[in-house]
Amino acid sequence: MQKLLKEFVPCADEVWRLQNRQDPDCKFFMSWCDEGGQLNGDGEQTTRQGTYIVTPSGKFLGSNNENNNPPRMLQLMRKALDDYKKLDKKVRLRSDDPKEIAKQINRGESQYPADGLVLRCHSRDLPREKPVAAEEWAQKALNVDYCWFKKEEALRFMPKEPVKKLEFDVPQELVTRMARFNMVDNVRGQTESYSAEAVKEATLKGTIKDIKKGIIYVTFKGAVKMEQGTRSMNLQLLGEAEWDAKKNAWGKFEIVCAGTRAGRTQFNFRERDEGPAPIGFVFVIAGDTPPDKIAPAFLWQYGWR
Amino acid sequence: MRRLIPALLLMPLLFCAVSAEDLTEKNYKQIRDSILPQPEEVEWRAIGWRNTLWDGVIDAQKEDKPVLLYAMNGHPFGCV
Repeated sequence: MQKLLKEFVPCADEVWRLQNRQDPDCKFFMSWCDEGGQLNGDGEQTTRQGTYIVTPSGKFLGSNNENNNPPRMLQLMRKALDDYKKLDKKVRLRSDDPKEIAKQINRGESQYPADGLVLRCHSRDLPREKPVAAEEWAQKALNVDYCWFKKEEALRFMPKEPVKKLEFDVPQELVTRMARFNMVDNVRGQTESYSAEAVKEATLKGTIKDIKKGIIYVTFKGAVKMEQGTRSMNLQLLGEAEWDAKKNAWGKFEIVCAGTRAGRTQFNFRERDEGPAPIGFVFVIAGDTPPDKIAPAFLWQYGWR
Repeated sequence: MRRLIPALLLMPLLFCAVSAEDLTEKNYKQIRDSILPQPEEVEWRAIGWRNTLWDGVIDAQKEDKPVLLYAMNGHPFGCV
């Protein structure tokens, strides 16, 4: 499959936006996504989750929603590639320049803070005294989302005049962003953020441990407590970070959160596992590859313009 | 064996539940490593994914290849 995949341009995207917005890429998607039949049942608002193969010009080549069925996926890919090769180049390629059309597309990724602090946040269930019965995928579940800070916000994780042993408070609005939008129970699937009113505690205290050769070594300690309806999150936070004064940027930034979650949301697959149960999160600096540059799930709640 | 070693390293955690009071400087790295993905859990990252459908269209037009789109509720790279 890896070899065959080289004959395609693989991409991934969020489907709700594609089927609900009017940007050119969304209209492009809706113009062909149902040609193989709706993959998840009838209805205009029914999700179009699935795998699709299409020419750059928008000629539909195939679709399925069997991501866990490699033989079916191979079959889809082989047939689509055969059909693609049979098409005239004028039919399979666009007559316009897609780079020009990209300028009309409005999406969160355009706000990527290249000079700021981009964190990847991993989430996973932590072991518990009495394991609960769950499908294998649910036991192994893990998730990842992103947390963005603009340059001026990234600087606020440090005191203006750092000296060894200095203790300081990270501004609460920064910790609150991490809590409301990332310390959420998304381990098994899509969930909701916490409201501002749900945050009962969101503290992070920093200590300058050392300053050596232009590197400022910081440790963090804090706590987060959130309650909203029947769900809650109660976490302790510890972290280690290194500010590179020469590069004027964080060279290391890591925060570990561990504690207890309870309750569920509509799509996070906790119907039979509402807890309270242990959960953990780890924030680390994201890489520079495409998967690390997608927008945080709740970017639209940041209030950025 | 490659898969067994990380599993063995996690064994102590299987016998202790973690509550909000349990994260300490002593177990910090152990808990961190139990949450972070193992290499085999992020093998999908090695595929030359484009972040968006339109990034895929731009490159497919340039390379004269079909676009393979994986679309999910919540961006698949965010796994949400």
